[in-house]
Amino acid sequence: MQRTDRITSLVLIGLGLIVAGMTSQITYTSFTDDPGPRLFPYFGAAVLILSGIAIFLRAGRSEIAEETIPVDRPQLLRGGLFFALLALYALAMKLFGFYAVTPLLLFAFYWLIAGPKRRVLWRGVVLSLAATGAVYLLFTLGLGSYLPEASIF
Amino acid sequence: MIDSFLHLFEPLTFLIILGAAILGVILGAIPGLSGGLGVALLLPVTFGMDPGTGLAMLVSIWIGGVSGAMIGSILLGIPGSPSAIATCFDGYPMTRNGEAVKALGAAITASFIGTFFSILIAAVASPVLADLALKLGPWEYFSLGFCAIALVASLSRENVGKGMASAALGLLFACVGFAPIDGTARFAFGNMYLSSGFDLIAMMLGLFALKQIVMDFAKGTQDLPTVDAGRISGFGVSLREYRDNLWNIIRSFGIGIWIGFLPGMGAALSNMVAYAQAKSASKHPEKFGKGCIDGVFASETSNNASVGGSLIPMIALGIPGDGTTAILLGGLMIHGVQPGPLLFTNNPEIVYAVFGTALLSAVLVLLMQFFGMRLFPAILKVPYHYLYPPIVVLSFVGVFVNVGGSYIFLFLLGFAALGIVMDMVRLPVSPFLLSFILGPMLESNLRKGFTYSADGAWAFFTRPISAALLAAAVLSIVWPYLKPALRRYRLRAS
Repeated sequence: MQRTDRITSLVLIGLGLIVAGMTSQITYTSFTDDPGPRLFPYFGAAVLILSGIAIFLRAGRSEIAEETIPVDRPQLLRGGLFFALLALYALAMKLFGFYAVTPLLLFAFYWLIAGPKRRVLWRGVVLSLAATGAVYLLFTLGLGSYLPEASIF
Repeated sequence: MIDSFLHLFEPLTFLIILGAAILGVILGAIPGLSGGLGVALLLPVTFGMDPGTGLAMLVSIWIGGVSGAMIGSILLGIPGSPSAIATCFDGYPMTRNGEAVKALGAAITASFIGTFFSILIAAVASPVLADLALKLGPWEYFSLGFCAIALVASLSRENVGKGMASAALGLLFACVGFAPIDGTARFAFGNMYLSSGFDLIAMMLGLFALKQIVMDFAKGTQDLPTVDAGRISGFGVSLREYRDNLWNIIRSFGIGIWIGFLPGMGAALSNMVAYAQAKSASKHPEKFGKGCIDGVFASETSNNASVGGSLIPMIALGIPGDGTTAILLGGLMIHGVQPGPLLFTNNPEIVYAVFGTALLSAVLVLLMQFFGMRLFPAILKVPYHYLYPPIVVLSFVGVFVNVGGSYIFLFLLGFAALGIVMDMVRLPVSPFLLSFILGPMLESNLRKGFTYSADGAWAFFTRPISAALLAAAVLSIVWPYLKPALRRYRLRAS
């Protein structure tokens, strides 16, 4: 954890410096005593840098033993796979709209989460159609909201 | 006054109030929706009603929504609205520990106490308390916001630096888009979507809902929590637990009503401040975050107490306490009622109708949730492969409906990724969210504070209330570092 904390602190300090640099590029005009739109980002960047330094110094103290986070490669892969499916859902919904994509992706989420031991084809199909229908009933009929429409056509 | 109350019990009005309260609870419980959305959606429906009935409907949805937000927090770890973020911290661990019904029982009673008594206070003391809000200037508002952030950041006792780093990130995320006061574009890189800043709902659903689902899938979590419904009587909370939390409830109530009645603040802030205070003052702070009922009491009492608190400036001054009261205020004006100091004189029946409805709704919501609290956890018996896919869809649809554009999906995924990274490097999420929520208010008051006084920045330190709040903020940040040094000094001295 100490190594992770050191890296985290350096990233935070670096980020704070980048934000401070970007803030200095903000142009504005002020005719009053208003300190302008740079003040607050400078304030945030300063707090970030000071916090980063505090984390770095604390990570250097040998007596602090914290629980380490196990970095498990299969877990990372599984998380990455699910995240990729979420991104695919977002992209597909933008291109093809809610109604065309949601039943398919709902089924894909079900299939993936259930795993080989729990997945049952007909249950997945029922879940996909029922959940899509429920969302339509709640948002379109109930609340009168618009759902994402296809942008590709 | 009696006529106004009797009107609420006319069959049609009563049914409208009951239906609206149920709708509010449902909207509050669904991630991405809220009672506020219900108020906005149903505002046009009230045009054809008489003002008393129309306002009764809107107030009931609002009360139901604030109370219902805890259901998602406790059962799924996904807050129904920002007002129930802190309820997640201990409510969800209680569910994981097989105490879902007990957590719900505590939240329901705390919600009722917060709502009912804050409305009573609002009804009695509105004109007097509202004057106080006007006496506070930007210096006090900035210092109060900063103090709240410092208190929440200091919750990460083992590493306050991480709490403050998370808070600083939240402040910087709040800087994206147009600056308050002068409207200068910052960190938008010419992108029109970034120009309007990040959306709070996308942030909340990304950081809580999607992050939780991705992490559970990555870890292969499939074990369903047990539910304590069978062995629970009453609200599931013992008299001893109520007694032990009496001071916690009173303190959280005070925090909730105070923050609620300050214009521009609200339940989104009060729940986290009350939680931070409950943990700081607790004899067993190490139990917080692992399923401690004290945290649920603190969060739910304070966010519901903010309901009554925010009614005070709305009714007495015509100043909305938060977004939902702003819509309610619009509702009053549409019905030809001018809020402000003369409201008590010109339209007393409307004032009594608002307070009466709020009290009646609080009782109805209490009864509804009491009978429902054994049914709500049925959702926990649904295996994750049936539960999570609809939550994913609800999260995407919820953010889309909120902003009306597909670009928001990118933000949603970005915040989910950010939540995973923050989890991996142990940066706490609550200071980040709180700072993001308070960022615009903080910046606006910081700049006004500089401008309004000839003393510039000094005014923040020379005004007594502002100085006391800043001192409390600094103390809460340095105390975890100071405490071990003091202990070593005392040991050496002895």
